[in-house]
Amino acid sequence: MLFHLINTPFGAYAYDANINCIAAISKDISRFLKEHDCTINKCNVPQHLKTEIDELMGIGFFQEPNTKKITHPLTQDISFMLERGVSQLVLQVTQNCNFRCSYCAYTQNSGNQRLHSSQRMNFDTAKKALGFLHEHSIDSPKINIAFYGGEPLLEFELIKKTVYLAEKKFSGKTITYNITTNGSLLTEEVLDFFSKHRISLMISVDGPKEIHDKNRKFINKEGTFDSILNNIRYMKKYYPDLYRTLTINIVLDPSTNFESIASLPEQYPEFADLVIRAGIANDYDSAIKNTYKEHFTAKYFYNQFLEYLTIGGFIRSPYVNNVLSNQINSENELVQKLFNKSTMGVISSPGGPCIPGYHKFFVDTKGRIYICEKVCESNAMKIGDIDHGFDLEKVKSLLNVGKLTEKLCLNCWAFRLCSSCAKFADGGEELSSEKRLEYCREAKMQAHHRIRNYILKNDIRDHKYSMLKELKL
Amino acid sequence: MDNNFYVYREKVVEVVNSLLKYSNIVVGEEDLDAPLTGEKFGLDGIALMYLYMALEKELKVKFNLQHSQINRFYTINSISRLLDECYSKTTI
Repeated sequence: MLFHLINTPFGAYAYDANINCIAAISKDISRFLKEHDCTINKCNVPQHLKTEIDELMGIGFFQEPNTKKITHPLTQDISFMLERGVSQLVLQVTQNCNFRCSYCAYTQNSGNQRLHSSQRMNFDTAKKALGFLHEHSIDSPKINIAFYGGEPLLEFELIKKTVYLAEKKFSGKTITYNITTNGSLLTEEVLDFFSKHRISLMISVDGPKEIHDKNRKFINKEGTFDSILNNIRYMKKYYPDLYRTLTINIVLDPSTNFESIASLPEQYPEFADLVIRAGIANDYDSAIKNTYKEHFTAKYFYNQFLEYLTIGGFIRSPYVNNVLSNQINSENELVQKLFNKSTMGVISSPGGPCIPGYHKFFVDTKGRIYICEKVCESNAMKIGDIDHGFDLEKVKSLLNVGKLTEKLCLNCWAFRLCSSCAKFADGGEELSSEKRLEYCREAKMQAHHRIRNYILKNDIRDHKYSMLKELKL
Repeated sequence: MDNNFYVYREKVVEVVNSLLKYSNIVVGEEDLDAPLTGEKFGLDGIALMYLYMALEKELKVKFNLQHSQINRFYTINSISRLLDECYSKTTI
């Protein structure tokens, strides 16, 4: 059976993947299901629970899994979609970087990940990549081109030429550009160009100077904070429009002090009005795993709590200048869309994989196409090259990554909430079921957290209502 | 500390224990100043929200955290002190 039980201090709940629905259940039923290891048959249900269980079964709960086979519903359509509907290209303009950040996967020699190298994209490759995007985006009114590295601004001349060419090629379509940069090479010429062509920037800053400089260093091991801060100040003063669209990306190092990191917008007014995205350093592909300090974890979760208080309307938002706001708000928005009651088909596919190539595709310096910039540049993640196009068989196998673990997935309560994307099945040369299973526990924890998050919102509403009645406010 | 503080603390301990009943953790004397989101208790932001609402419900009070107080829902003692300061005139 595909259900999962959750208890909160305010009640007991069951989530059922067959119908993608959460129901409040009595504590007696919750206890009974736990005692019977989540199995129900007509014989083992005690008389006093029969009515409630029958009602729940009547709306689709506690049934045998509907889905018998894993196939992604877009498997048949994907070739057509990739032929005409592609809209986002991420270009790796260089594999080189002028930083050597300690947590960067490219700095360490680990797993399937490449290392920093001097490989650069030449204009001919960029031109071909744009041509490829052009050919495959007939149905897309909006085009996005992102520049990625290494440090992409080491190849500013290439970026300029690519933007000029894209403007000619995609005239008549809405075109947007993004660049993810370390922020150290923002000269007047660069900012002028970005401002003129409305290129949005994301700059990585990991906190105030003492925290940032711990991990983010130039090749000569000097800290990089001062250089970035000066550039952001300059941008704020002379390019206010560009500054307003700037996003700061904070990679949270859990071996540091969360409060210090969170004080960034207070310590430096340059960051106070900017969109800040923060997430704990992803150590999945790293040889060096994160070290968690208790003080960091305690403050991280406390700030999470403050954000929930703000969202729930218990405190006013100006009280909390929270680096976690963006992350928690996005998660909340997602969770509100997740639980739409619908029955699983006989043929279905677990959550997790995006549509390879369709949402975006990543072209490396040599013109090889990968599913996105966040994966290792391994053969398993490669879906073609700009000379020969998409490898549809590879695309389909990545789309159907759930087939690797079909038997287990078909009997898993987290089937529809699963966050295990293709990246977590990267076995280097090919997809690996063992790798996918390694991530399974984490994916289930995320699914559990999302259900709790959804229930919390409802419990807050009920609590507020009962408090209004209780205190006659 | 006046009597109310200890009464509030007893309540806070009771609610924390009920939140932790599935994890075999029981609040001890030595834990009263430990962060609830730290290693010992291991509550995350959602669990702390439930503690906040459960206390409002149990004590029939409404926390109105002011800016200067937002970091005080952190340990059992700091919550008890907060309750004592804000609601000492309220009988429980």
